[in-house]
Amino acid sequence: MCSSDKDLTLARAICADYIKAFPDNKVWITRRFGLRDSYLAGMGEEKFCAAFRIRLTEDYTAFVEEDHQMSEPSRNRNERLLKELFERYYKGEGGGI
Amino acid sequence: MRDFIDDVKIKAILEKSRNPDKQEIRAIMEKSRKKIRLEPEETAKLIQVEDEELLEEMYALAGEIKQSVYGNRVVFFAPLYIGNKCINNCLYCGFRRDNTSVERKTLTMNELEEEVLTLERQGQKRLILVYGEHPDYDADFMCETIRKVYETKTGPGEIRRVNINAAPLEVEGYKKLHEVGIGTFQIFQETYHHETYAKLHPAGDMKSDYQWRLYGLDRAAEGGIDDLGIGALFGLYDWRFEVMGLLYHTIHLEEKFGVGPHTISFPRIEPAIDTPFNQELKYRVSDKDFKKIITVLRLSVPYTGMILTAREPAPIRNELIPVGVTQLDAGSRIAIGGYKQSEIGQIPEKEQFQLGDMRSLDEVIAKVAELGFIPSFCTAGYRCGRTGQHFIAFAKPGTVHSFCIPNAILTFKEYLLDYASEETLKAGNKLIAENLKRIGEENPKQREIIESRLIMVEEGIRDVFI
Repeated sequence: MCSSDKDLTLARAICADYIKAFPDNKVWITRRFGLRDSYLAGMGEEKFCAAFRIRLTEDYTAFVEEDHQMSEPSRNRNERLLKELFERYYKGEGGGI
Repeated sequence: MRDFIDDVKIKAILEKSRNPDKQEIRAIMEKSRKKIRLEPEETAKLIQVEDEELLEEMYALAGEIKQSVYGNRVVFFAPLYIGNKCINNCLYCGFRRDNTSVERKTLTMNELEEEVLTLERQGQKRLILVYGEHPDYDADFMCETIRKVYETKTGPGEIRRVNINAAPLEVEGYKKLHEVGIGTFQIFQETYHHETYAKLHPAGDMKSDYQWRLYGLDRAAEGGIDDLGIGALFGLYDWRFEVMGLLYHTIHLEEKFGVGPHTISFPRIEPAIDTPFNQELKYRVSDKDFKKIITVLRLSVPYTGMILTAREPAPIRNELIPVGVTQLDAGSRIAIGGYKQSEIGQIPEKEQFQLGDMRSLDEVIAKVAELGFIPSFCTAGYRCGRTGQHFIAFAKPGTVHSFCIPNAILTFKEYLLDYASEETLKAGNKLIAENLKRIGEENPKQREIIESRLIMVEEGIRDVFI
C-alpha cells in the first residue's frame, strides 16, 4: 500500500512521544517498499551522524540519531521504547510517556 | 486548461534579459553562491550571458556549488532498455511506431535476468529501466521487471536501486511502482514549447497530450513517489526556452509538493536509424551552449542532481563533470539485449540513437578518479528514508558530505575489490587515501568511522553504508 494517512498518523504519534523521552535525539519512521525505506515522519534536530536502525516490523523501521558512538545500553533503551510505542499506536491504544 | 508553462511569458522574459549588465549577473551569481534557487528572470539573464569573462566565472561557480552541495563524487548507473514497442510516432525517435527499420523486441524475464547478470558482473549497482509507450508495458509489467531485477544476484553482484524512465501513468500505476520499491521515476517532457510539442507528436497519439505528460510527475508524487526526474531533449526547440521550462517545472514541483525534482537530464538529440528529422536540426545545440546549459542549471537549482549520459562523447563528458554533473552512466548499451550481446562479442542490434561514449565502466571510473572525483554507487539515501523533503532538509546546510562522501568511498572500495582492473584499483586506492587524509584534517571522527567501515568491506562484508 502507498503511505496512507494512517501510516503518517502512526509515525507522527510515535515520534512525538519518543522525543519527549529523548529530546536531544533525532528520530524518523519509514515504511518498507522493496529496498526503499520510504520516509513517513520524523522529529528532532539533524545530528549528521550515522543512524541506528530499529526494525519495528517487516514493514516499519525507526531510525535514531544520537551520536556516532551510541552505547549498547542506549541502543537497547531506544529500541525498547520505540517498539513499545509502535505496539500501542499500531493497535490504536494511544501512547503517552 | 492552462498549465504552468506560459510560452508567451517565457519568451518575454528571455527577450527582456538580452545584454545583461555585468553587475547584475554577478549579483545573481552571489545568490547562486548562497545556494538559493533562482527565479526565472534571474536564470533568463544567465542564459543570455555571452561575455567570456563572465562565462568563466559562471563555470567556476557551478563547480564550486556542486562541490559544496554534493562533494567531489559522481554517481554511476546504467540504462537497461526493456522493450522498444511503441504506440507513438514521435518524429525525432528511432523507436517511433512507423519506423520499420527497427526490430521490435521486449526482453523476456530470462533475457532480462541475463542482462542484469551481465551488468552485475561489470560492477553496476544502479539501473534505470527504459520502456517504450505501449499497452504491454503497463504498471504491472514494469513491477514484474523491477522485481526480477532486484531478485537477480550473482556473487557480490546485486542491483540496489532501480529507477524508471517510462511513459506517464495514472496515479494507481505509480502506487504499484511505489510498493515495489522503485527509486526515481523519470519523465522527459522532450520540449516544453507547446507549438513544437504539437508538431513533433502527431495528433491522436497518446504522447500528443502535452498536459498528460507535463503532469505525469504530479501523479507520481500523488502515488507516493518522492524521487522525480525531469528532462528535455535539447535540439527540438530553442535551448534557452527549454532551460526556462525545466526551471518552471522545478518551481511547480516545489510549490505543489514542497520539494523539486531529484534529477534533471538534458540529452542532446542524436542521429537515429531512419529518422530524417534528426539530420537537419534548426535548434541543434553547440558544445559551447551545452556547457552553458549545464552551468546555468547548476547555478539555478543547486540541490538537484544532474545526469550527463553516454550520448555525449568522452571529451565532452570529461569537460562537463566539474561544471556540476552529479550522475553518469558508463559501459552503456541501449539495444534491447545489448549487454549480453556485447559480452559475447555480438554486434548489438539497431538502437534508439547512437551513443557517443562507448568506454567501459572501468575506463570511465578510472578517468573520473583521475579528475579527482570519487565514483559512487551509493544507494543509502532511499534505504534510510533520506529522500524528498527529508533529504533537502539536510542537503541545504551543505552537509550531504556527512553521508554521501563516506558512502561514495565505501561503495567505490567495493567496486575496486570486486571488479576493478589493476590500474583502476591502484588509482582508486590512491584517491581513497587522499580523501581520507583530507577528511581526517577536517573531521577526525568521520575519518575514524569511514575507516572502521572500510575494514568491514575489506573483510568481505558488502552493502556497508552510513
